[in-house]
Amino acid sequence: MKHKVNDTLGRVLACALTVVLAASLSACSKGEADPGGDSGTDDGVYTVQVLVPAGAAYPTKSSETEVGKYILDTFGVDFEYIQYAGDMREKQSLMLASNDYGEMQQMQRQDIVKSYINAGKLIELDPYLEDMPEFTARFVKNIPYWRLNSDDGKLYNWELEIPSESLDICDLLVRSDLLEEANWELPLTTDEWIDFLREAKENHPTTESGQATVGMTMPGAESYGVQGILPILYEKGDTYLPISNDSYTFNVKTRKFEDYFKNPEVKESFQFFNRLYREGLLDEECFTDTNDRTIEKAQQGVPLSIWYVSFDSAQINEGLVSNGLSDLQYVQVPIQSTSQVAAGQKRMLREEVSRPYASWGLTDKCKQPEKLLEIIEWASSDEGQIMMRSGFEGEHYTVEDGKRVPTDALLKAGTDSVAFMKETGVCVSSTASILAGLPIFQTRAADGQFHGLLYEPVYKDEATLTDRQKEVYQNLGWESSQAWWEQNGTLVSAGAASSVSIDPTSDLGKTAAKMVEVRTKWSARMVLAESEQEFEQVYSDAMAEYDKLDHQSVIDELNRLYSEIPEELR
Amino acid sequence: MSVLSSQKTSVHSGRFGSSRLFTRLNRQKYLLLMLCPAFLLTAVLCYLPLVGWWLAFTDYHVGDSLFGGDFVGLRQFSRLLFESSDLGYLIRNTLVINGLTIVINITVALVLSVLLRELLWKPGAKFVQTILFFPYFISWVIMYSIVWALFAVNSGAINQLLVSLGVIEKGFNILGSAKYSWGLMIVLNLFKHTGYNCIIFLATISGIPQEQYESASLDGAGRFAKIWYITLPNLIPTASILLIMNSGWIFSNNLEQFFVFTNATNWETMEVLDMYIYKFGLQQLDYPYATAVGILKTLVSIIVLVVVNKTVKKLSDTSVF
Repeated sequence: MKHKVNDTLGRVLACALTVVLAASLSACSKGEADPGGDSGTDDGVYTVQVLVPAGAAYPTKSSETEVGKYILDTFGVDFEYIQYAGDMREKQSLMLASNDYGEMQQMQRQDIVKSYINAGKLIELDPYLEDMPEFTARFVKNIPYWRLNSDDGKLYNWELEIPSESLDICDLLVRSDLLEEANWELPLTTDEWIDFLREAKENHPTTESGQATVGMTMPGAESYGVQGILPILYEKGDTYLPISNDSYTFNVKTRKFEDYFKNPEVKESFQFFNRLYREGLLDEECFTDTNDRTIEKAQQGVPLSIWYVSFDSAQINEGLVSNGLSDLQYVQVPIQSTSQVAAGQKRMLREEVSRPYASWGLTDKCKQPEKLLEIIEWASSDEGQIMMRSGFEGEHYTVEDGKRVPTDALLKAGTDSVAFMKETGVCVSSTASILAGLPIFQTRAADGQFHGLLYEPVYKDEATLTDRQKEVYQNLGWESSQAWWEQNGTLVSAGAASSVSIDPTSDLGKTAAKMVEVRTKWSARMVLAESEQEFEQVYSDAMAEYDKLDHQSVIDELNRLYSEIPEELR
Repeated sequence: MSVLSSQKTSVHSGRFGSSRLFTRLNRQKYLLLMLCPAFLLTAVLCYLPLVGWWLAFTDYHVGDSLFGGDFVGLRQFSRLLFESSDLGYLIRNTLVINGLTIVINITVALVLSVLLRELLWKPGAKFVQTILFFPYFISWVIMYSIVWALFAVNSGAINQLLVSLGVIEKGFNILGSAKYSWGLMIVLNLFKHTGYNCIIFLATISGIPQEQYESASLDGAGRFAKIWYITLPNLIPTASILLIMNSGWIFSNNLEQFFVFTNATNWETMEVLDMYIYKFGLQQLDYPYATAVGILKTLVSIIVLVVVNKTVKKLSDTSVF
């Protein structure tokens, strides 16, 4: 009897365990939120799931913000943000490959846009343009470039952050106390900056807390680090346009694509960092530092200067202030190579008509494209863009004599833009809007003022700069934080150069990818050479390996594709 | 026995054989039922995706259906073997790191488990065993953070200590230098997997009959003699099995581990085959090429597994299959 009871108990346990195992398998597979979108309509609300880069600014749903609430009440649409912390380009490709993409999809750069178009996954927008006069008028100069992404010349995508009349500059951040010690004498050339940093490092070998300082750092571990910003000294002159971090640059004087790695100004960039390394000024951890780590160090005042990442300055300075190191706040200053200055080159300021990195489209999974395009039409209008950039009348600005005047609430947002944006949905700075996918640009409204009031020169520095930064620029004799670039810059339109790309899956596309890989692999070795002779030897070895690739064919193909674009678009 | 009766016997044996099988299966049906989820999991996650190997033979573009690309034969394999100069350093890095890891891990775990067994204070041995096992659960991302916190050139705790004591002038750039890559990966693998491997050996040791040790004591054997003549010979089969099983993984690496540790300064000695597959497959969207690399890697791994199994079987009569 006891034996039978044990047998039965054993069988019951075995069955129960099997059910538990099977259930746990099923549960594991449903663990991750589905960014591919299982959007639905609930109580008349059309919820659209959108994949966005992970960031503190994003709410769970757009309706949690004031602007998002307005969109919900007006259009009956709510955007649900699914954050993704990995490589977005990789994710976007994987989503296409697995047929698991959203209704409204971001695509970073032309190759991914083309992949989606060629796979037939994007909705053609031309039939809807008749009902989108605001969108068509706003992007009248840009739409012809967007059409270049498709072989049939039809419109399948739009791009964010253009058109823009504001300057988007990323040069050098330097600790303001060092400029004060140097009696506000500002270096400009790479040679001058090396001398400046050498002396600064001697005077400040450690921070107040005892940490060793470094002359210059940068987030080399980021995907744009070694590949993108390490060799970017070439963009500080007036000849070469920074198109992408790929295998080519664009010579604006000859209007031709040229090889990136063979560019003499790119070599100068490597030489500059090599000199910094040999002088003990380069942060050796920079090749393994992510952007977060760079910010963390900067908030302790460890780097005396930071290469390129001026978009982090607000966060860095906020950290310095809360750490009681207000006098160390960083300011953005210019840098050019010695040869660029000797040649009298101005600083190129790029005017973009195409920004493939910020492409969006509606996919064939979109249930109500008309509704989403209604919102895009609204965002393209003055009414929508002012709300997205300046907020609500009465709360964020008032109207006096036909002109918008920011309230204290909006002015305060200049130095705390991320938190403000999370609460209100209003994007006051140049960082990407959290209302992902909706057109965001920086031009003047019908009232003559910028849509984003804080871009008005009279308010910009007042709202976005800290007292310390204002003091620094005043002592430098600048009228505004961008005065040097306004006086020494030359505005150059990228034209169709940004829209040209080779199919990455073609043989030439694979060669182009290999060209980038070789350059990236040799970059750190060149920078870490122990002497000038070693640098030249490493450079020569790198070129020898690079020359085994058929790189000229890639450049020739790019120039051929560019020549096929109508003259008026080039 | 007549032909007729032997034929009858063979017919009866056939029927009897299949009904015996059914009886055995029926008797073990609950065990088989418990096995079902694992079997399904393996079939769906390990064998079903092999259909994707077809990509290696086609001109697949992202967005196409799985069988939508044009057939190109062995072009991707030829590209890897004859057109790419990457294979040399990739195989070198993979084999050096994995080969040394396997040998060192098994040896250290074996020695540690013997020493733990010899510890007279058993609670202490249990404590050490538990501590050794903890690193197994640490993810490689956390591991990287720990290494960074200790060995960052300027701010790492150990580097700072050594510089302040005057032992070194400048911190070791362990994360940013190619010369430390192999040692770093081997040491970290050892740190992470020693506890796990020890448990396997300790389980084997606990299965050694105590009578052997008692007999040895009666014969006057000392502690080291018992270890040499009883413990180690009993552990050799387990070590052999571990060696055979790990040899099948000699061309494979934990992608998470190398994803966090590989950077622009150490790729020469850190980049391994799996990172290469990831780079081409997911970063450069060249799925056919990445699949071809993966197929070659799998085929070579199977050959290595079979050869090692046969060799070990010849040398020690132990084998997995």
